[in-house]
Amino acid sequence: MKKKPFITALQLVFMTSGSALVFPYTFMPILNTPPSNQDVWIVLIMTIAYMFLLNIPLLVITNNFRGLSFNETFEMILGKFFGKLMALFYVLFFAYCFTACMLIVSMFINLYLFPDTPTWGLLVTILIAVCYAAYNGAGTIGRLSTIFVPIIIFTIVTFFLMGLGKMDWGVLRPVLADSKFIDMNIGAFLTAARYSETIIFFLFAQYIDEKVNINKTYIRAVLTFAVNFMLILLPTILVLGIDFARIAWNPYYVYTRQVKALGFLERMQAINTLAWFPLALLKLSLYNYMASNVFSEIVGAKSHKSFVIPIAVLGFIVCLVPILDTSSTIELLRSDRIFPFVTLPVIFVFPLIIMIVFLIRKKKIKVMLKRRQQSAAGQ
Amino acid sequence: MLSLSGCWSRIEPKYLGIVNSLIYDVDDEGKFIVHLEFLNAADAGSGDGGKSKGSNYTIRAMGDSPREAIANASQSVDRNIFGGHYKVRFFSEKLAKQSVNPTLDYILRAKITDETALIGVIKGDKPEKIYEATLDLSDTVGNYIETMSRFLPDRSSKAVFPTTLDFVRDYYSDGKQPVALLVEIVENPSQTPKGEDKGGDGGKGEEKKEYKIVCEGLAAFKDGVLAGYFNGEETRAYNFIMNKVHNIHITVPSETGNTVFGITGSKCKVKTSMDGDKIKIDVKLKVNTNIAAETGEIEINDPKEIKKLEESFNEKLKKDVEGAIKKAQQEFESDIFGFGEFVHDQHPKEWRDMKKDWDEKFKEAEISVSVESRIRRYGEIKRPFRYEEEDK
Repeated sequence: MKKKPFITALQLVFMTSGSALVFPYTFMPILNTPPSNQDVWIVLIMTIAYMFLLNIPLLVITNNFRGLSFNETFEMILGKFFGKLMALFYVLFFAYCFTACMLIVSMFINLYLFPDTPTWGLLVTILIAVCYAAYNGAGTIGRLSTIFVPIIIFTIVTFFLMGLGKMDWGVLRPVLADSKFIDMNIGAFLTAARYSETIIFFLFAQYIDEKVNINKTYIRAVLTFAVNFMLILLPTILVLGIDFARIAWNPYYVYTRQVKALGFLERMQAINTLAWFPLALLKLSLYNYMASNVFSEIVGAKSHKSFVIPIAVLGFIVCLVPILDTSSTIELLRSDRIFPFVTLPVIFVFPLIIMIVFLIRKKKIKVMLKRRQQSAAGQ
Repeated sequence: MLSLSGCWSRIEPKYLGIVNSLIYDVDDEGKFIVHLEFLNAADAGSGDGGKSKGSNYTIRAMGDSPREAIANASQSVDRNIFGGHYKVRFFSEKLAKQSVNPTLDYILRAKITDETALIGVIKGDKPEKIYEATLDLSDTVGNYIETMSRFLPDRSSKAVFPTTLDFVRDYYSDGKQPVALLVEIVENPSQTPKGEDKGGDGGKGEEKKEYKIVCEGLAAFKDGVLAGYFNGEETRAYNFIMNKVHNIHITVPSETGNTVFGITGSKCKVKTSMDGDKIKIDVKLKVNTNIAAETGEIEINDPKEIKKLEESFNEKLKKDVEGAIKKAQQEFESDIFGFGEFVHDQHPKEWRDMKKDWDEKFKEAEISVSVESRIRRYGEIKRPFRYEEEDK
């Protein structure tokens, strides 16, 4: 039996919320989802409700299969063949997220920081750190999250407070006058559909103490994400205005460029970049680790380690395909036309099917679980 | 971090040509012209205060687009042009009258430029003269304007100092048009000419003129095109409506002299209403003042006199504000006050139909102004200086 790494509930909260914060921090898709106006902050509040709704099936499965790996859970519910097939879909999804995130990160660095550095140079730099963390596994990633995520939360709060003087709260008016209820729901749904971090919860739940309440930990993670998202969103729209924020590739970075303090503290965006970069590496490490971990279980390998570098190399090659490394392709990949619909099956549709099968076969599965627990106790 | 320090984009500071301010201009054939003012870092750091050789260095370049013009400037600069420290970017009057949109597109798109720099228009047909102007204690035009933007709004509200971001935000707003800092280069008669030596034979040849920079008024835009200018008093009225008036002084003539009002605070409230197709806008100003000086013979301890003073102040400010609004409505046809945003806020349903032709609606809007002022303090003496003397 593989020795499982131990992670704490706090680390899980940091991992999921930190990973989820990379997208609003990087390109804030909520600004371009309907209704795409001053009511966007209300859409964010509604998003939380949708997130809870969409994540119910995954949470039910996570709660009922504590201590089991991703593959073991699927195989127990769906049988060996369909379990493996389902797990394979998730591997593809993790690889997609890994590659898409790498593309977005490299484009951001290229646009705002190092315009002359070739993409391959950026990717190699990123991948060295990512492979190291993913190779060392869940425990290392968990520990990294306790360093990186508090730093990012600190910078988010600091930039919010320092920008207070520049914020024009009138931007938020009129409230709920220009938005249709249906548009706001569509916007909230699409934003919630982008939140794929519950899978991190599902996969890493096997590594946390069985006494930890999964639901409470999940709520803490979602709230940590939502509060920080709000602290990113509000100053961005209040300082840049909705229309300009919508056309900027990285509106939050543009906001941080405006922050000055005490008459001499300028160019503070450097702090934002320093905090953001490790967070992006954390997200990439997580997705690389999840892809290699689940794939290793599918093929019955002893460890995920053999797959970390091949997955990274695969992502690296895909990122260098000329047609993919263009702003228009990245915009399409991350847009509401593609991204939520790639994520939605993985976070909601498949888990819903699995949950229904579980509920149908509940008695049989409970017996299997009991037997498994007894054999584990015997060992 | 080690790997990042070796990035391809690195340039040692000694090879950077740091641009402190620049002017975007256009010639008669439609070619873009840029005037770049570089910071002479080595000179600025010298023991003589950076004044011996002049701390700024300017060059002019042309191109088919603003970006190309800047790239062409590299042909006569031995450094890498770096725009990360722009303090101010100017448009020439000629370019602003054509459209600033192509230039703004470049500014927002390019990595080396950002939105924190101030944005202004230089009045007149020779904008580059700004680099010949006397800069008082500053070493570059960029630093001069930037320093002025820190202190001038608290001394006089006769100018505006919007950043590029402020301009862009207003440009994108359906209910507000942007304004920019207005700069004028005028001859400076008070300075000793520094051209030819006039000593001995009484001066030879042509005398070199000295110029000074005057930041007064504002440049109003409509859809990215210069619509016109406000003078200092109109700009002060604009600032009253925008709630951007601090510690300024306004002189109001009275029967026996002048009363100088020190403004300690003001609040403008805008209420909009609909009367069929007609839009009514009520601008209500509440101003707290002190008496900073009284040259007449008014008994300022008398509540009746105080009331009269308040009324004369109200009348003066009302006239100024109405004049400014009328000019924006009739001459500029541009809602630089952002009344459209109030209509949007207060009548969102009606706004949906009118936002596309808001400028037309604004032109025809019925705007009323009311001013309510309160004199709170008289300063450290109770009666006018002259009045007390006569009383003795």
